[in-house]
Amino acid sequence: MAAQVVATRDGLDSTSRLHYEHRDIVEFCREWVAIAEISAHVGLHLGVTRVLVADLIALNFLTTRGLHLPEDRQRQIIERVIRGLTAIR
Amino acid sequence: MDSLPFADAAPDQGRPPVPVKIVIAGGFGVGKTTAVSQISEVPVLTTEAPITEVAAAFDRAEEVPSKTTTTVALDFGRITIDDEIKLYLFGTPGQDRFGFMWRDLTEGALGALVIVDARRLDDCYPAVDYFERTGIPFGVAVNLFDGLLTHDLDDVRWALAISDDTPLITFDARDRGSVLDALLVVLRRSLTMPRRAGPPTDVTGS
Ligand SMILES: Nc1nc2c(ncn2[C@@H]2O[C@H](COP(=O)(O)OP(=O)(O)OP(=O)(O)O)[C@@H](O)[C@H]2O)c(=O)[nH]1
Ligand SMILES: [Mg+2]
Repeated sequence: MAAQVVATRDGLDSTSRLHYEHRDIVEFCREWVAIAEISAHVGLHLGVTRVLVADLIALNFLTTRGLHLPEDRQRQIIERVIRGLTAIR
Repeated sequence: MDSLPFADAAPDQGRPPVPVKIVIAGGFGVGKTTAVSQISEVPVLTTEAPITEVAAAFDRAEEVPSKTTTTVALDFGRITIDDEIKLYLFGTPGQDRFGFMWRDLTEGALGALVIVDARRLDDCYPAVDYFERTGIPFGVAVNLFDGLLTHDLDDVRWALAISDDTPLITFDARDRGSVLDALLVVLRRSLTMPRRAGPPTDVTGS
């Protein structure tokens, strides 16, 4: 759900051929965005968004990266988030 | 979706930021949307619907008289930590019937904050129970709606069956600093708590 997707070159080149939600999604994904962000932006239920995004990935119009991090990296990231939040506190 | 092969991204999008997330859960009307709104750097993307349009799956609305909308999808907020890390905040729907979304939502989360309305403890039990069972690091924040705690925190811990290791604090969902403090409590818990994802922990302590 926080997994991020971004439009591929193929996807961006094809927006004129896409319709409705597919087009809205690809156009919204010019930068890396989280699937939940797309859901809110396009105004679709999260489950629906996931299905549409999966279809667009299968078409090679979007590409994805998950958010599973190795353990030691995870620790280091949590520490950075703690520092970051403390700084804006 | 994670199992799908990576394709080449269009060249100009750069390295993806590292997405991390914290889930904000809790019962109906406990202040989840309020809390996410206080700290998100982008306007919170939320799907609210008039309460009357939401099926009569809950009849709690009369207990929160001034409330006319409820979150039917989820709140989405974001805080940029540095040039690489983006922290996403997901406020999850209050009604029990959206509980099925929690598994997806909590996957890969650094931790969760469960917000409790001290006046309606029962509403918050499903969320506490869920996180206790799944082993996701979490903290519980009691939202002090009237500015005073009508229960002792120990009573709250007992009533909601919150384990001794789980941090339990009071906070004000309308106060930015207070919400940030609550997230910090969750993150510190996340650092110290043994992870399920690793090799199974010997809970008997040898
Ligand atoms: N007095 C007081 N009111 C609060 C506080 N936090 C939230 N509220 C109010 O309580 C109501 C419910 O808050 P929301 O943030 O909508 O709650 P929610 O958890 O997002 O609710 P759902 O999404 O419907 O489950 C709103 O009218 C808020 O303005 C608080 O700390 N004190
Ligand atoms: Mg809400």
